[in-house]
Amino acid sequence: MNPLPATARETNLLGCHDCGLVSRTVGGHDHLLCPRCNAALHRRKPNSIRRTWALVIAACIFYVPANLLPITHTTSLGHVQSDTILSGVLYFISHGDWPLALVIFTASIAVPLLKLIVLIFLLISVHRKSAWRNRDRTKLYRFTEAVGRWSMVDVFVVTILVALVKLGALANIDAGLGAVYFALVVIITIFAAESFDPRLIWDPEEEHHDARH
Amino acid sequence: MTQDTDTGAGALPQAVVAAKSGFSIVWLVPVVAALIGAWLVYKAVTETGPTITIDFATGAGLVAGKTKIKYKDVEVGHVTGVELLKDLAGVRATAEMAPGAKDYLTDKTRFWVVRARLAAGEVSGLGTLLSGAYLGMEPATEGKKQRAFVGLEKAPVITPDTKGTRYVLNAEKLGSIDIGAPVYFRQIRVGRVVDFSMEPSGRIRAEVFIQSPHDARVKTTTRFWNAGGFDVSLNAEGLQIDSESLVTMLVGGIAFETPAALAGADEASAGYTFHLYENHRASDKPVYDLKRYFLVIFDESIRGLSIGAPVEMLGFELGKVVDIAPFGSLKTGGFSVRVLVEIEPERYPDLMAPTADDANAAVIDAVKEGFRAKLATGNLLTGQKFISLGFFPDAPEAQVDLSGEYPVIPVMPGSIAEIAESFASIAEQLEAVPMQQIGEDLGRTASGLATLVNSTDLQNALRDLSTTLAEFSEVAANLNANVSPALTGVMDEAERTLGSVRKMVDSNSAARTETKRLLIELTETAQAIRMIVDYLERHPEALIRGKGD
Repeated sequence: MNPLPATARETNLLGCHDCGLVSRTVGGHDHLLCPRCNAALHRRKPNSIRRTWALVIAACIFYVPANLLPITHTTSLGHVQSDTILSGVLYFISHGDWPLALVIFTASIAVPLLKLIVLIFLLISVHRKSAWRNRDRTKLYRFTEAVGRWSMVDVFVVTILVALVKLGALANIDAGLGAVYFALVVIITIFAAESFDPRLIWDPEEEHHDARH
Repeated sequence: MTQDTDTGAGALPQAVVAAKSGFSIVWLVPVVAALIGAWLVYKAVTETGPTITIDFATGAGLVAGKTKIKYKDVEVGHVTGVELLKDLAGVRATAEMAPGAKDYLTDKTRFWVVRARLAAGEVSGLGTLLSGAYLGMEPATEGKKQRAFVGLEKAPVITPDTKGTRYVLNAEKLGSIDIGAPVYFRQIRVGRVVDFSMEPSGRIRAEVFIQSPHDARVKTTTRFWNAGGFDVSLNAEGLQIDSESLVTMLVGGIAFETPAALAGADEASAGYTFHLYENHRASDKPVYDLKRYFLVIFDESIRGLSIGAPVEMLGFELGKVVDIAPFGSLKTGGFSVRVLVEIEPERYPDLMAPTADDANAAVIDAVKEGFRAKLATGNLLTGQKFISLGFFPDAPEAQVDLSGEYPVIPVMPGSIAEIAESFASIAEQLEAVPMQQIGEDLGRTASGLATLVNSTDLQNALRDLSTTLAEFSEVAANLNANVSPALTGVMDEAERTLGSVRKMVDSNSAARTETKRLLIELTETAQAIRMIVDYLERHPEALIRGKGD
């Protein structure tokens, strides 16, 4: 008995993303179109690994300036202070605002970093056709995808502050370049998570199964 | 199950084959990211200037990330960190400089903390009250490139691009002079006091900066004086108040002038040392700062020589006696008196060279030529002595003793020798006296006396004398008998006269009352005179103008 249910790939069938029509594959050809709505058909997300790699690498590059450059320039009484994400966290810690510091640290430093690490780990494990703890790895992926957008909180905070605090020479907050790179990191990692196909995690198991047959 | 699928699949439409696409566009994202990253790195490398460290004694006013470094009020860097030095002797500020500043960071570059300053008649750095202190920088292009600096504790008063010359003033006391105090020339402000410090000797060393072109007016003969406060003098023309300006009255200052007679002197070079006179009047009398000390050791009595006595050369005063102390041992005897003299070589520059060694060498040479110190009498009546320096070519050979603290100038025997000389001349005259003849004469006189005594004439004379005496006693007896009764009568007369006189001076007598009144009159007159004298003492002008009221 086959313990696993049959997959579309095993049965040489393809579902259309757009109209949902299921069609048969044409052997030897990768680039197929839906016979009904003419949308591109894919067995898996196309170039999932390569695309995810590209985005992860881009996010990694942007992660550096996002953390090194100031995200806000605070002007108060003619004195300008520039804060990076980390200096903001340290500022809140030094003022005893632990919960706020924890939120900013988690959302703006820990989560993007964890996301990048998890994606790299998944990519490498898929690349090596690892069959280790597939279910956990899928869970990890789901978690990554779900939590990623919350990193945008920091960007929104900066946006709102910049819009609200406009008191001329008395007090003024401007967004720094770091905010732009940080937003790019968050957006690119969201796309990277999106472009990763979790079905790839399970493919090695299928192949293994096939080989046993 | 497989069958079902097969059947279903057979019924499904077949997908259409699409044309192959080439390079995936998604790779553009990391490429762009990499390009942006590379650009950021390039920007960071080119736009970040050198990081330097500046050590200060205290961190007052230094805040990491806030304190700026400015030159001519333009920001050229900022402090990124302030930390204590390992030995806790100070603080080290780490600063990031603008990229353009790297050519100006040499071992001659100076940094200092600029704070608000309200001194010397002006207010500076008011902006620091609001924005906090900043670091001032004095860039220097020449010198060795350097990244670690030691900050100045005192902000320099004169910026390096100001043209002018620095001079040193030597003063007994600072007066009311502060750093930044003005320096005036004919009541025009031409410079400032840059720095002052205390010398190991306890004198004050002040540094002044005279701006160009006024520094050309500072000659080697120029006299500087303390113009702080004001001088009040009362003289025949009335009350006179002297002050350079209102500012100097409040914060003190220095003025200088070159006496017209000495204006032809050379211009003073940078760092030339002047004496700072206490006030304008004191500057008329030159004060000599340079002093050389010499010892003169006398074995003779120095009676009449006192501390402060002049040291002269051909009557020209060169210095004074500053100390007199005997030395020697009570047991062995051999007392001497050590006299410390102070010579001011500036009075006669040819006499002594400017450095102590040169001066010693000059004295050694001079002593070879017969240069000696001599105790001389200044005043014959009071016996005051002074020390005279001079050349005595006949003097016995001597050398300068340099072994002690002060060089010892050999002594030319002074007054003792004079006395000895005069004794000698007395002896010579005595020698000229014909003693033998006097002796012979005396002998002859004595023998004459002997013959006189033994002669019969003398015996006859004595006999005559005794008869004369007998006659005289007879005369006395006569007198006793005749004169005595008459004398008694005279005595009685006198007694009677005295009785009448007693009656006259009796308490109730008219004469006595008259005398009493006369005495009272006299007392009153005396009182009146005293009052007049008192009044005159207080109002001497009354002699001319009469008694006012």
